[in-house]
Amino acid sequence: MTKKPWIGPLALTAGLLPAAIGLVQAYRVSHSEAAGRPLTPRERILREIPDDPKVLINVKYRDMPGTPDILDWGKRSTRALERCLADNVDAAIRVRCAVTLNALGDRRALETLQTALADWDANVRREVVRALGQMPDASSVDPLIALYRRTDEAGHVRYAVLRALSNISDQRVVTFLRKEMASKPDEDEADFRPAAFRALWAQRHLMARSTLVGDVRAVLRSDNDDMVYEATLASAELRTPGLVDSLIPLMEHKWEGVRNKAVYALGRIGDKKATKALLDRLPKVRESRMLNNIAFALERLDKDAFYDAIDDLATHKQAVIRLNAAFVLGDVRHAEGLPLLEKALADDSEYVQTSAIVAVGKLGTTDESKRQQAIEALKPFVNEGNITMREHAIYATHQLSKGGRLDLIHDKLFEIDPSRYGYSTARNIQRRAAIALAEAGDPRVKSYIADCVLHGGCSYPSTRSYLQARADDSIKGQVLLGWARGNYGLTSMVAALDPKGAQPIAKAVLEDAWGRPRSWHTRESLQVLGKLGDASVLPLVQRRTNIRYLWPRVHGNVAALRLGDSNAADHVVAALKQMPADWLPRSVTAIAVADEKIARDSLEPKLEALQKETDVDLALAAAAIRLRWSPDEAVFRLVDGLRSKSSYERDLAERYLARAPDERVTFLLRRALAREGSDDVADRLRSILDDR
Amino acid sequence: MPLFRDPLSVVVSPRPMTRLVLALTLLSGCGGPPGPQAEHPSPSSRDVPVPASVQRARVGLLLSLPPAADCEEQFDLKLYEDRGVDLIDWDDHPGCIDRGVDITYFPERLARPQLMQRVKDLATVVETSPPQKAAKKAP
Repeated sequence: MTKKPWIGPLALTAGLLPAAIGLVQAYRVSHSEAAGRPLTPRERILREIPDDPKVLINVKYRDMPGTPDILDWGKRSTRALERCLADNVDAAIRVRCAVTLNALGDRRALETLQTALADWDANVRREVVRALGQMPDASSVDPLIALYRRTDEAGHVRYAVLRALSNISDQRVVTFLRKEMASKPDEDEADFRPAAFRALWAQRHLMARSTLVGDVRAVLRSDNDDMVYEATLASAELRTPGLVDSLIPLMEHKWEGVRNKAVYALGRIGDKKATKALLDRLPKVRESRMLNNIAFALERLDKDAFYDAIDDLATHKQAVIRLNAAFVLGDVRHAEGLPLLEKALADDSEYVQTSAIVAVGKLGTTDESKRQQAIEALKPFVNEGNITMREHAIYATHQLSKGGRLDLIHDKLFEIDPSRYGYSTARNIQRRAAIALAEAGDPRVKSYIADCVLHGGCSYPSTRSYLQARADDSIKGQVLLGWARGNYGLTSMVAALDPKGAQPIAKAVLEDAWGRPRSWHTRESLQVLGKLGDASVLPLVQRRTNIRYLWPRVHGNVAALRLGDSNAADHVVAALKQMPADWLPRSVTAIAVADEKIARDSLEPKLEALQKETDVDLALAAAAIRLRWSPDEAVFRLVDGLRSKSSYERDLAERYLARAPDERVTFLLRRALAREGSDDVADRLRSILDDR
Repeated sequence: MPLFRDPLSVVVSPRPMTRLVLALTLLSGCGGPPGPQAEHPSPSSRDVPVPASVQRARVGLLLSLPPAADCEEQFDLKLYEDRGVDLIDWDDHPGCIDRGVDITYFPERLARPQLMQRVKDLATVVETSPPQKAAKKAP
């Protein structure tokens, strides 16, 4: 087969083209408004959308405003989009209107969307179905099922119906999906059973546990491999011993993914019945992931049997098997693995040795003599000529010494001679060493870290906080200069360090970008001005809040709030209520930056009230903002979301909890899991914790 | 009863009783009732907020836990079963050995000696130490 190196760049360009066109359009619209020139037809139509519901009925495709521009009107554009979907004769435009309604998530459009299921164009119907899935309502169940059952319906529409039904929690949906899963298609028909199973899995909270387990067991024995794969994932979440007998044969499945997930599920279930099957499988393993999964499963089920079995692999004639055995011995973290790893350290293969070095560093023990034994075993490698082995040995020794070998990291890695190892290799080793030293607060790497952070080479929370704690006037000046040149990765540092001149420069950036309210310059300068907290810039910031575009309004009002304008809290809430449902997750970060007491005191009570809204997109976004500020209180609303009757709300709550960056949320979720009495909520909590 | 039947295992029998059983099996496998719905637990069987006004106390500990890939989580899940425990806040270090932890608890529900006994039951080494979080946050 001939290689076509241009395909990748071409596909990337084609993928990015719509976004680029959207940005250019957005720029032109805001620019023309600022310049005061006559509006183009597209701009005129855009301007009339909130006030004239008929404005999109006769619009031509070339005059159709961009989706981001329409969404910037928020839910004020719903009526015009409904009329567009019902009355515009151009199917391509109706598709755009359905997509935009989907993004808005305004339930006032439900009836219009349900009517549009009768549209003659399959692409329009698909987008309408998707939109109905994003606004789950019991009234959509029968029309969607009726559409699915039409014999002349397109496959992609039927698939979309199953996806949409996964969001609508209703017993009619459960009954329908179970029936669809049971009906095996003819050979020439598309097989929708995997999609039906995925949708049913989303509704698992509506089913009795025994029924659910019975269904998953049946799917594990199905003739459809996609479905079997899905069922192995489901088994790992259910952790029911009753599934073990169905999972064991899948260790021999023809698909690698199924084999791995079956072993993973057996490990999660932890039923001793699986031990023999896992031990039998171990000598036949041919993939590293499989070996790892079996090792973890066995380590839980029968530790002695595991060490007997791994002994054979650690001394296998094939180096790649010895290498993986060493890796596994490290990952299970037991000191019992040390004798086997000591043998691997003397292996003829450097790869096996390196794997063993890393593994020794991971072993855990409270026995001081064993710890010393492990450190001694690594000693010869600390001065090893092979730089990779040396690097791993030094970090492993550092770890075993409870972080007490910074000297080795500094002298043998940070001070590495590039002429001996090549510039690229040396640079990576030096960078990793500098970050490790910075995390330990070592002052010797200050200038290196300053340079690295300012040029974006190692801009992490740990390195930024290291630098902030040691920033002198020179570093502060460089941070400000970098930010003014457009390196907005430094925004949080400028805001925290408050270098001399930061406020006038941030003000100038905001004024310079006045004609481009949706630009990064506007957003970042508002963030800096808000954080610096000098109320003298409040009038300027307030002027920026008086704008129709949603994001600048949010950023401006958040800055005003931080500068002491308590009325801005009402404007933030109003913007949230107008905001497309698709944009709400992004609003969490934009608003949660205002973590100063003055801002939280004004906004938090209003967010607490929003948490009780029936609009779950809005309610959970409000809870997610509060989760950044007051995790101990806000976590309960999101865990209640996991307990909701609606699978849509459950999924949304799960996504917000999974994305919350604070480690405290992990601790709170463990507490919730330990005390949870409902199996399906506990399953979800465990799944979130596994992914965090 | 499982939802699906293995097509190869279905044997058509002329006998009426077998037909009846088969029909019932198929009915069950074709969108029959999904069984009783999941029960929703009462507030007592889930985590509930405790008002800020309730007195809390904190103890800082240095622990070593039985080695396991998820040793920290296993410890938490067992200790949190006692509702006298408010929060278990770990340091950033990986692994199961010499881990710093701050445990916040409700002294009116759980006396300190009881808490320490529970911790000792779950850990291999327990030493008291100053609260970890304050030390950890310092750059």
